[in-house]
Amino acid sequence: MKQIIIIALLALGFQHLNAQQYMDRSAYVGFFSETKMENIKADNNKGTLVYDAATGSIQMSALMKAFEFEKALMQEHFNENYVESDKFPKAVFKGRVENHTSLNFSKDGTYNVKVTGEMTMHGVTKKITTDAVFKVVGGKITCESKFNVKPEDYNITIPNTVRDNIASAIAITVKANLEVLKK
Amino acid sequence: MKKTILIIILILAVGGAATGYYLWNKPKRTAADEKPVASMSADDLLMAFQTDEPKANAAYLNKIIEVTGIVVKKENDDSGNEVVYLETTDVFGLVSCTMIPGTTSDATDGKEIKLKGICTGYLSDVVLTQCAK
Repeated sequence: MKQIIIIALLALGFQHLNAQQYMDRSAYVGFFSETKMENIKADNNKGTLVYDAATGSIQMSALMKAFEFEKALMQEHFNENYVESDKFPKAVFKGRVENHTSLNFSKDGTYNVKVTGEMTMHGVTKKITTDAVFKVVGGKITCESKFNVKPEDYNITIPNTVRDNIASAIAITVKANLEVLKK
Repeated sequence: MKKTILIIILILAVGGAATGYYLWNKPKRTAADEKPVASMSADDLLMAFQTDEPKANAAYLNKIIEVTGIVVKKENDDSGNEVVYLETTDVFGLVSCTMIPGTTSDATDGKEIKLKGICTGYLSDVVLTQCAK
């Protein structure tokens, strides 16, 4: 009985928040490393993004093991040697859209915003500031951002033998389709 | 004598190159060619992660898990791979199963299905990748 009450309360809570919370459970996170030696690309379509329109708070998470590389060997090295995904399975960004009151999801348009927050990866938390673009087209809301991440900032050590094959700053792309939060 | 050494070196070089070539082109691990280490309902899998995530990670991360559940929806992700979402009793979380690229499941909305995949962890959903029937 107690459980039913809790579930009912939670359901009510979510309904209340529905008006303002948006989510994508299949957000895209990509990374691209470009060097003279080789280009390395990985795609992850399993990211989660939650945006609260009332407060402007935004949270995104991605599972390290869900990054798909072109080569199985690259994926293995990435998981086992670099990000140690058994120990640190996910990367999490928590922040806010600075000028979130300028966003109007009920009106078609392109909104350029600034996002600041903290990203935790490989057990290290760092501040991140980036530009993001929200687009509303026919009621469909998308959001996209690009920023750079330095592996060394997150205590990810790259052996000297392959240092020239991996860019010092990895380009990260995030793309999400925001829908009103529901199951 | 010199000739023998030369031949040995040659064999080693060819062997090394072949190993390197094999490793470089090693196929990706999928759930298709492995037996699941555990079989459970989508609900039990999600509950395991919600109750104790580190423990569930230790037990299931990177392992092949077989799940049974009711299909909520089926869609294609940005890379064109089929993703099947399985229902749970949780107010929010689901189990998401991304099929091996180029393959499809027999999933029909509202019908029960059994799939196996590599467990990659828990965000709001438990995520299985490289899934097979």
